[in-house]
Amino acid sequence: MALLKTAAPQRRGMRRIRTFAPWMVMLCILPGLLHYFAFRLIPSATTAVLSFTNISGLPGSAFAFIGLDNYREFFILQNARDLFNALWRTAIFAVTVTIIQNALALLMAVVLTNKILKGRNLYRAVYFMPVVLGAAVVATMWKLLFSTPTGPVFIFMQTVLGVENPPAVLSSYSYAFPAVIAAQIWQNMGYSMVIFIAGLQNIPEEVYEAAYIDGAGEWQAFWRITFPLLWSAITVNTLLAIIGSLQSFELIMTITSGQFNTATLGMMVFATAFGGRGATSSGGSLAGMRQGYAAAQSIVLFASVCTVTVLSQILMRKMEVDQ
Amino acid sequence: MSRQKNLPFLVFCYALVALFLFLYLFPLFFSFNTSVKTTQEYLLNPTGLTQSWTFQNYVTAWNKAKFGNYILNSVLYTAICTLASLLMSLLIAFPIARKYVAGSNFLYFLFLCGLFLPSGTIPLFQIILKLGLYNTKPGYMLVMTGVSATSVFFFTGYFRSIPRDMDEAAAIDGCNYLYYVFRVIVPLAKPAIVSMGILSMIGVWNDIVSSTIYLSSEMNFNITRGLTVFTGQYSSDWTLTAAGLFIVAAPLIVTYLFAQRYIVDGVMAGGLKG
Repeated sequence: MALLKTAAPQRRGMRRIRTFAPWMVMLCILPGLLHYFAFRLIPSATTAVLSFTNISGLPGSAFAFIGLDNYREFFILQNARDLFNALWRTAIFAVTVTIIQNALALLMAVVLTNKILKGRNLYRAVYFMPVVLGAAVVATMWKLLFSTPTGPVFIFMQTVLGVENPPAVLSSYSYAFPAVIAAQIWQNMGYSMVIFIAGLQNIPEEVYEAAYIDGAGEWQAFWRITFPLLWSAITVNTLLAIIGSLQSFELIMTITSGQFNTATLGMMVFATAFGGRGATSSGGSLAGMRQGYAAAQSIVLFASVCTVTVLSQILMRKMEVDQ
Repeated sequence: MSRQKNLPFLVFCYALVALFLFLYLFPLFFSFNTSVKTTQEYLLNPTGLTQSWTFQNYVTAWNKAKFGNYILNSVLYTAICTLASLLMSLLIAFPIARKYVAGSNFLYFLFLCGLFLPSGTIPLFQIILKLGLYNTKPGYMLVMTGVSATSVFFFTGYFRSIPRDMDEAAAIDGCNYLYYVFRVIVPLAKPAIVSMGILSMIGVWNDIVSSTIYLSSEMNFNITRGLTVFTGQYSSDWTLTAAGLFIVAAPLIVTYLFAQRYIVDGVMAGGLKG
């Protein structure tokens, strides 16, 4: 080794020595790279192309380029109500989920990093569990909890809250959507919490000790120390929650199938492309797996995700500077 | 964070912890309690603790829904997709970490793009359709496999902490590249691989969207799709539904009990959702 080092002149800190055969290294990269191109990059890029066609999901049917017709159809007056409803609902879903999920996660993360508390790892494990359980299990659990008239929520409303005729929550046009939002928050709170805990553990103890010696209370310590020093974790979590909630529809699909005023834009795209309810904002279905049309919808969705992401990034940067 | 023995604050903390424990454990507990009740008992007293302790619901659910078949499918999908994804990610991340190929930075960037690009579900569906792989096990596995940006990210970071001198020593001794990667690097990177592997397993096992899109016949269903169809068929038989739920959740809960540390590590590194 020593001989080699002196023999080969160092170029910009990179030692030029013989390593593994480059063709072998390249050959090993190829399967993953090809798969990535064929099943990830190319599909992703061609969504835009398909949005200008009337391609259908039924096998073997011909398709043609129809220009902007899909977009026009989506934006014309008779569908504007659908579009507006779906956008509005997507916004409500994203905003409530992002804010409540992160607020609760931050609260629990702060509580669980309190060293006096016993059994912190156990609590953390319990709160994180639904992340692992997945949408199908969580949805089934939700149906069980909200079932009428034997579900615990129904019984609670009847006996404790004294509601005479409790609604069938998951098939109610006013309550199904909040229930789905609650499921989304319940499932993902632990995920944000774990990221916050990691961030909190990076804040040195001494900072707090100094503050407490100077007479700061818990509340002051939180707002003056924890909150500003945790800002990068808050940014990451907000971003993850916004992107996740704008696009995700697993729980909507599994709990209500997009019926009862729960269809967000992501659900609409899925239902339009692959059949099922939720293709219109009122929970109806469209015939014929119109995937060109769905591609146009998903471009609209992608554009809104990009806009919101960029805007929120700018906003959070600005808030960081202001602090 | 308290350094002071502030009693009201401590009480507040425990109260919150208890409230959340209830919110997170009650649904599980209620479901389990329901799953071991007879239908009669459930209808008479749905919220009471079970007196009957029957496991008949599990037997009935298992027989009626072909859960055995679904589980076998899910095990097959999970094993193959996870292994293939890990293998491809490893063999891409290692040369990127070492800059062994021209354009390593570009490759890295390319995979990072995957985090932000739209999923491309519709063209992907058309590709699978054209390949004649719709409603086939290979087709579904082809979709569920993939080099995720997060694992490339995670692995390159990890590989950089393994000294480069070892590569050089091995190469000079004429060690075969694949042999080196699998006998030297993989054992050294075991924690990272286990983390990513478990996250990928959970992702495949829980998939419901892709299995709804790509699988249409019952013999190909994975377990989550099976559960959804089953609960649809027996939607008012709650004891049976609860039993089905636990048949699906049990492997996840067991995995979670044993691998919690790895899962949380992976998430802290930005895992699961990629």
